[in-house]
Amino acid sequence: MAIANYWHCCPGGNGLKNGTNWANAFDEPALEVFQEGAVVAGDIIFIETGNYVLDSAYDFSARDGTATSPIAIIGVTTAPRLAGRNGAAILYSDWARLSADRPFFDCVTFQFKTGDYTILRNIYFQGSITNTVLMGNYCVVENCKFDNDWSAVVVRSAINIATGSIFYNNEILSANCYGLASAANCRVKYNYFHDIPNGYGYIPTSGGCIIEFNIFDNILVGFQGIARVVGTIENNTFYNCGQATIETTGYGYTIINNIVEGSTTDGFLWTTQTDSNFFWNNHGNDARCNDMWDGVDVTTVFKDYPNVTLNGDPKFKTPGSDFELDTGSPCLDTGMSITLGV
Amino acid sequence: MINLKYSYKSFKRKSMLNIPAKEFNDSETIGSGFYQDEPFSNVFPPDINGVVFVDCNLDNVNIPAGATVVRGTNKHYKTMNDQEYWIVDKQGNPIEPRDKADFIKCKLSILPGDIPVQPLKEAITWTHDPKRIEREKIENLKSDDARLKQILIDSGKLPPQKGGK
Repeated sequence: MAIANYWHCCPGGNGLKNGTNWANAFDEPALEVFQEGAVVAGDIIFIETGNYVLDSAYDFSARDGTATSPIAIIGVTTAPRLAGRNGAAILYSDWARLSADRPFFDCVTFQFKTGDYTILRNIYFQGSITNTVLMGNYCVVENCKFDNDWSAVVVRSAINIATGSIFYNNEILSANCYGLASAANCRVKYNYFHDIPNGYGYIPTSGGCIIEFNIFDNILVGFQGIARVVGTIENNTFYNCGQATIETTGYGYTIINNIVEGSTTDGFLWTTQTDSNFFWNNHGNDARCNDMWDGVDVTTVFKDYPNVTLNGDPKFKTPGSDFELDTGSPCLDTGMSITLGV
Repeated sequence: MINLKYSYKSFKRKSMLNIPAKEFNDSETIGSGFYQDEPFSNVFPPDINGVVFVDCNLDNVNIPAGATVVRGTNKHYKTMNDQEYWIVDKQGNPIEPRDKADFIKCKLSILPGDIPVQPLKEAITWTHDPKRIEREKIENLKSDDARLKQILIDSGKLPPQKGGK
């Protein structure tokens, strides 16, 4: 990984506001000017805990990183500034890993747009516009929070990632709109999608995505595949969704080891029976999810239905807030061991 | 004097009408957001004096006579049926898209008369975004094995098949 320069930003800025160190940290307007016009591949920007309100689109989509020198934007606590740690001296323990520490970008009605090969870490984005955060190809998003707080029910997403991106360990909510939209071949893992009662938790617009170890909690539709082909949905928890997963004409899905609990309409809904889907070892049944396998092609040779489908209350420790499996859960140690690869 | 209480914070969708004017008077509020969903909203006490808003988001907010705005934004707009923000007049009539450059990039009309009569399902600039359309074309092609194979055959990069599997 080749690093170009380190830059610094805090809510009010400091000194010359040229970002070279904390004593001369950018404020938000200065950072925006820098990112839109001067940031280069390999730059690492540290943003300190605090509020950053946008008054225009924050658009550095024309400034790409590269595979070996991405542009990184990392939220940090006040500790490095107060201790005089600049640039390379900033420690991993300085990162704003806790939700209370994350810098808050109030995008209001403006987009935050990145180029390709951008890394976002430890930042909270909130806004009321389509794709509040719109990212380029091959980006990495980790430990961020996204909230589309638009007050009307329309098709808007809190965050949109493009081809080949990685989306790990984030929190996504959206009262009236969608959560995450993505292009093809993205990896979406360890995220908490919740309280999206009027939209989709995650909607890819192309196939080839891998969706693993996520929690989808209190969402109209947890995962909406539309007609996207080939996807992997493994080890996710769908709780209290209208429908856990919807697919229309897509095929080539691998759906293994998911827990589906409390769906009010469907567990899995396939509006057209397609083949080459592989369902195995998922937990959920009609009694607890209304219609667990609505429209799923039960004759497909590639799947085993419903023989290994487990039943009963999965016994989360505190449903709705703590999804760890409690003592006596029928899901404990019953996941199928999966080895991916060729 | 910087107003530390109201600087670098988000107060969007909140009313300040019940806050005493003296909390704002003769001070600079920097880098804060006071956005409202409804255009021409009264947010601040009308009798504030000597107040300067610097780099603030004051969209859809009426600025009292005793305040001045330095940089930042203070436009009035609403979402129309195309799911885009349009600058509106005091009667709420659209004048032009707030993000006019995006409309032009997407070759969309910026005339209010061309706003769809029925609400669209997604923002019109997203539907017509050339970068997105191009990307989806490529991704659809990649997932269409038969078409991809034919293109490779046509370009001479793959020998033609003679039947069978």
